[in-house]
Parts: sequence; structure tokens; C-alpha cells
Amino acid sequence: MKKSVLGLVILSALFTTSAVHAAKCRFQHDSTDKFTKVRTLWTRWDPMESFFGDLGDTSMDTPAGFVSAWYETDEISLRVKIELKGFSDLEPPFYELEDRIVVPEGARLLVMMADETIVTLYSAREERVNSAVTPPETGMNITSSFEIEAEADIRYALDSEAIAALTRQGATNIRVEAADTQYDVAIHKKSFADITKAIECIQAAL
Amino acid sequence: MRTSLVATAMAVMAASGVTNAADCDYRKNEIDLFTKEKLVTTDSVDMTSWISASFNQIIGNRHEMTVRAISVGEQNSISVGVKLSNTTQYAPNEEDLYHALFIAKDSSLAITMADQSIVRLPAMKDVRGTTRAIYDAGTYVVSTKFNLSYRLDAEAADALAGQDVIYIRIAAVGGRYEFVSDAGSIDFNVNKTGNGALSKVVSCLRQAQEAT
Repeated sequence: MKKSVLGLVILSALFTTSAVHAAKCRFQHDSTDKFTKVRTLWTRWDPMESFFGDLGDTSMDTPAGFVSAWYETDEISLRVKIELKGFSDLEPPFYELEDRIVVPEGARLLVMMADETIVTLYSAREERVNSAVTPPETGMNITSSFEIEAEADIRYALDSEAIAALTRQGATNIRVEAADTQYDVAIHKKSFADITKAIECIQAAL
Repeated sequence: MRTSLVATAMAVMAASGVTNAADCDYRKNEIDLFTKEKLVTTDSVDMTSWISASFNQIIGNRHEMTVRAISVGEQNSISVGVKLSNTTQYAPNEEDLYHALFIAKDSSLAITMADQSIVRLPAMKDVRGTTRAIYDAGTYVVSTKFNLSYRLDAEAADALAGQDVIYIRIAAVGGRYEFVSDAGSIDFNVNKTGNGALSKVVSCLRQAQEAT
């Protein structure tokens, strides 16, 4: 009798946790293809930094990072978005805008967990992004520069071992390894659990 | 052994004009979170007022140079930042800007020391100058700039830390705007005030490495 009560408590606690997570889960994509019947799920991008902190100071040297989880044909992937932003008084020539961010297939994503262990993931495909340029605003008393932006969306395949490691505890830092550079993002305290949450949202929805 | 290493570093620093630890400033001096390697980047030293372009290049125009020393774990390098400007009557097109300056991986940074010996450091990657043109008072001012790291092995570091520098030659490609000489280089004389700058950054790098 005691055992069954205990089991019930544990089960209800699990359901409560899932329900809490499910309530917080926001998807930008949840659909089933009419022809193939393949279901795809994609959680909303969560910023890894505080909007009032690092993100506001984003420049070409300090990337902003976002995270989401993706599900398709029985596979869950972690998606990391890196945004670079810079300004120039002069219009940059076209050749400088090409290949602003290049992440080869198989490039590593290092995720530092709260206990300082590192989870290593590998990019599922090449990501090659050009910069986009927004010309300065014109008008009375407006002085602005050319705004140069690049945004890469990199997918990292997750196996069961990686999912277990990423959902066991929060993450504090990530490092995206690119072709000839790397992008480090320190995750804001409030966002430590965002990677865990994104994966759990997919799991809860299946 | 450790004491003698530090003593040697201090002696080298004294010879190169760096008198004490307070003279060394660092942009970065930390342990990498992921790799646990030590990362050191000295502050940039602006050599602009201490250099002049040789071989009649860029006479009357601007040229700027900064240097700093970098170490990532055991890998040391010297990072050189250069900006060159020239004027032209004709509006540059994209191709002109694209071909203004290029430096290939492994091409050399040749540094002539006070005793006329030459230290050669290989470029760690390809780099193309970031080139812009501004129309100003009837002419176009074309500027190109780049930052490039050159690999620094222990022997080269000893040579650079030990004495002054009198010439710097950067091997490069680019026929436009006379940024690069016909011989394929950008050359600078270094005057007496600035010829200890490279010794300083190398010595500061070593000092930070030995402080662990």
C-alpha cells in the first residue's frame, strides 16, 4: 500500500513537472506534412543572454546567441543561432560580405554544464552565411552608419547520451567552433536551463 | 630553475626598456574556460609615430602600425595591425578594392634586428585588406587595413626579446595604389624611439606565461 502511494506521488510529481514545462513551452513550428505524415516540431528561440545586458552591446566581436530544439523523423537536434552586428561609416564592398560566418559540417559545439563538464556536439551540416547591410537612415538631424549583420542557424544532432547530459543540469557557456574562428557565449543566469527546457519541450510534445 | 628563468626574463626586459611588471598591460590574461589553456594577449603598442615607409612608398600618405603578442597555450604569435592610405583621381571600383592588398598564409614577416640578423615569422592565415575609398576635396582617399598573426617560435622570441628592431618587411601581393612594392612587400623603417616595441611585447608575453 505504502509503495503504491509513493509511486502515485512520484508519478503525479512527474506529471506536474511535465505540465509546468509544457505550459512554458512555446513552439514556432508544430506541423505534420500532409503527404509524408512526418511531424516537425521547433521550439521558440530563447536568448542566452539578458536582453538588458550583453545582447544590447552586441557588436561583430561579441556574438549574441539563441537556442531552440528541433524534432523531425525521430531525431532531436539542438539549434544554435549566432548573431553578429557591426557598424561602418562607409559602405562595405560586396566581397567583404560573403561568408561572414562559416561553420563546416562536423564542427563542434562545446556546452559547459553547471558542474563544469563539457558536452560536445557536432554540426549536422555546413552553415555558410553572408552579411546583410542596412544603409544609413536619411533625414533631418539623423546621423547613422551602415549596419552590417550576419545570422547563422546551426543544427547539432543529439543522441540519447547527449540528451541525458544536457537535461541533467543547466548550461553556463557555449562555444561554437567555426571555420577559422570561434564564438563564445556566456549564458545569463536566468537562461541556464534554456537548453534543458527546449529539449524537454520537444520530449513532452511527442 | 624557475628563479633563473624569471631573472633572465627580467634581464631581457631591462635591456629592452621594460623596467618592471607595471609596464606590461594585457588585453587578456586568463585561463580558457573550455580548454584550460592559458590565454595571453598583450595590449597593442602603437608604432605609428616610430615608423616610416621605405622605398618611396606612400610618401606623403598615412601609414599606421600596431603590434601585440598573443599566446594560446603553447602557441605564440605576433599580431600586426597595419593601415595604409593613398590618394587617386579616379573612382575605385570593387575589383580595385578587392585587389588592393592580399597576404598569403606562410608568407613572411621579416624583421631586421640591430645586429643585421633577420628574424622571419610565417603568417598564420590568408588575409585580404579591408579597403575603402572616400571622396574628399577632388580626390579619392583609398585606405586598406589588416590584422594578421605571425607564428612565433621560441628561437624567434629569444631573438626579438634580445635586441632592437630596425626594419620590418611584410611580404604581400597587390599592385593597386602602391600599397605593395614591385618586389612584393610593405617595408617600414623603425626609428630609435620605437625600435624596442617588439622586444617589449615579447618580453611581456613571456612574463605573463612565467607568472603561472
